[in-house]
Amino acid sequence: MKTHRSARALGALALVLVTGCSFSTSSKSSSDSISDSSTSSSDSSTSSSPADEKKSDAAAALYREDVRNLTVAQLHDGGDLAAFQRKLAAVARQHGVSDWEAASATWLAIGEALRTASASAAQRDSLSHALAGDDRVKLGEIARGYDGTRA
Amino acid sequence: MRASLVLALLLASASLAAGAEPRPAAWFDYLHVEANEGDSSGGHVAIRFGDQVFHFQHHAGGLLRLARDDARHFLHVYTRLRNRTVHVQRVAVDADVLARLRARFGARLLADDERFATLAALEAERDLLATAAGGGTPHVTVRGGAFFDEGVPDAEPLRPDVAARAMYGVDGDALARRAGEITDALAHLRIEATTASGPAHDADLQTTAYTQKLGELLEAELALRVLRTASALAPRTLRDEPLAALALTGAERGALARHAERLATRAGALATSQRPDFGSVLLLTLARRAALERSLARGHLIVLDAYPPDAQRVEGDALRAEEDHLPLLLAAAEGELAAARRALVRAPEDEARLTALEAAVNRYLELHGAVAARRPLRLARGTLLPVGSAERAVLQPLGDTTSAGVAAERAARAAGDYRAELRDAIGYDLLTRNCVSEVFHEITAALSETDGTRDGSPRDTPEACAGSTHALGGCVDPAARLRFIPFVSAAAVADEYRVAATLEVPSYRSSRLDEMYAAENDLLVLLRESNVVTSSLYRVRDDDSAFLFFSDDTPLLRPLLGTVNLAVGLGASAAGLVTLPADGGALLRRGTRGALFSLPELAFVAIRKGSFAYAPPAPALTEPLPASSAATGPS
Repeated sequence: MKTHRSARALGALALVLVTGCSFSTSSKSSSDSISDSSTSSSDSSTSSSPADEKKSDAAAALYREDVRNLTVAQLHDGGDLAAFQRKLAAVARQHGVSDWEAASATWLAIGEALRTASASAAQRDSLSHALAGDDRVKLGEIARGYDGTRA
Repeated sequence: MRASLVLALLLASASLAAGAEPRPAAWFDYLHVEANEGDSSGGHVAIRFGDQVFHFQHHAGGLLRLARDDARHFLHVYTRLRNRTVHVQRVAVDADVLARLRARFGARLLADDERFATLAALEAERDLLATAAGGGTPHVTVRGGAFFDEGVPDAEPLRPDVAARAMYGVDGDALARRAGEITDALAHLRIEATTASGPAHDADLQTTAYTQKLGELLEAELALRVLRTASALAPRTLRDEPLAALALTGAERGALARHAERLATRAGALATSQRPDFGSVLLLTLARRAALERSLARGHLIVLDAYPPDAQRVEGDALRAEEDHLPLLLAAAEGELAAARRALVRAPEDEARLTALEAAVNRYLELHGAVAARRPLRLARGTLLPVGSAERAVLQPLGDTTSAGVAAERAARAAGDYRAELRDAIGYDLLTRNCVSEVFHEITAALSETDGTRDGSPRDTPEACAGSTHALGGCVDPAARLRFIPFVSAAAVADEYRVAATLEVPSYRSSRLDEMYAAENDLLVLLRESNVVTSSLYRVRDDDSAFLFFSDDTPLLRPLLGTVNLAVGLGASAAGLVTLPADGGALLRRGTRGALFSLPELAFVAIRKGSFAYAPPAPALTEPLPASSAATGPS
């Protein structure tokens, strides 16, 4: 019996040691965090303009992807406009954008989402005007995103 | 003759092409991170799409949450700082499959973010109402509330003779109407029952939190008042150090001036915007414009302080322990600052580039202060967007104490119920729901050919697996054959999926040892680097357990080295009992962990590898990966 219990305990210990997931960053040590937190997420050791632009383009593409995914979810699940705008704001903040209405990437991505989700004409019209009102520039960006064309 | 020669050449070209390695049309990488002490001691896994890595993390409270990281940063943290080798398996897929996988993980990321935001909102609501019910004065966070000193004349008025309306082109009547709407809404705001509707795993939840609405209305009220009265920017909210390195160039002056004009235009539009959070955005826009104007007036970069108020601070002995690394980090920050300045000049109207510049200036000044003046160093990962939060007392009537009490109980129940729902939906379980299992569940769900699997169910049924088998060559059931264990899951991927290429990204210590062996006498390197006392590479860290010998690169000697390490761990534990009153148990913990991680070494298993406080950035993965092994798995 004693041997059996010891074996189970050792087995449990082994399981704990061999499994487990990374804990969230709030539990990290200060030394890990100094090196990890004193620069932005990606390396900036290159000093060339093309490398800078590539990095900026990649960041912009990721923002559009997130806005697209969020809009597709909104079209799928519904929900009120204010809640969607709050979620959009939260996503934008993660990308360093506070004023998502002023970013053309936002409207392009919304248009792309309408195409991805195969939104009906009524859905396109409803969401576009709910978010952009009668702003021709924004509505134009949504249309360009839907058509898959860039300015 | 000529025709025969041409034909021969054509045939030769065709055979050369046929013999060349075929490149997958699209791909994703399955990453297996080796074990080491610390979090994920048994290893970790991730999935990589291009330059982004997705992986599941275990959060306090027993919840599993998907995280996304820049691929290079992920490799830096795991291979360099945490000193773990990462095994990469590239799975060949077609473009449509890749798009579905990436969309699935992207959707899960957003869903998890929303779940945690909802939980935080419900718990904030609970706490605010509990304070009110108890007769205390509750407080609410007002984003942007710290940017301006209301009613305090600015020592250096920027536009002393220009009214706010003229400055920002805002119609006075529209502004007054908007302010009236906000005042009215605040006067009528009352506590409502807070509910989070819908099952947690659908992530289709909308809170009607009183706290959230109140915060937004207070932000709006403040923003419109600041706009009308041209309030002064609070000096404490600025990072203003006239260093030569921050002097503006002519091109930067032009870029900042264009950006300031853009912000002025946007301020006018935001003042009448109907979006619920316009207030905080307007406050940030006004504060940024004021900071840019100050930069232009003084000739050097001045930005808003972008660190969150609860940012971790490193000071005293902890900072002194890092003094060798700080100049290296400062040099890296200088590089980032230079890149951010170039990027802003090229696209001065892009807010994301302004945010990147603010973050780069902030990080540079933090490190500069720590190096030059030993100032405490604040830490914050990722994107730094200035928030300028302030706590404001809630003076609006909430209702009588009885109502507040009833509402507080409801809010507490709602928060508790929601947390319980999340535990059901995304609660961590060692065997059935962990960082390995969830990756495969998401893959299977993304590729499932049956409907109704948006939330990942039904899980791993033959029908659900059909899609994965068709698209990837197989289906990995993490519940079978211990495939929830990271290294076992990597073997499963090799067995089941169409792996086109593999690569090993070595740990920092192993890559440095390879360099040393190539340059120096082998025996000398082996002896010197075998232990923590004489190693030129490793420095003893409080975050690592107490041990003497590295055993991960000497398998045959492992039990012997493990025995010594066990003795060291037990000795440190004994010493830790003596030092317990002084160090709060730090040495005892290190010793206990040291003994624990020595036990596998007795059985030839090395988990512990040591870690590093600083390491140079990991090299980028070469693209495309070298086909170091023939494609494996079912054809």
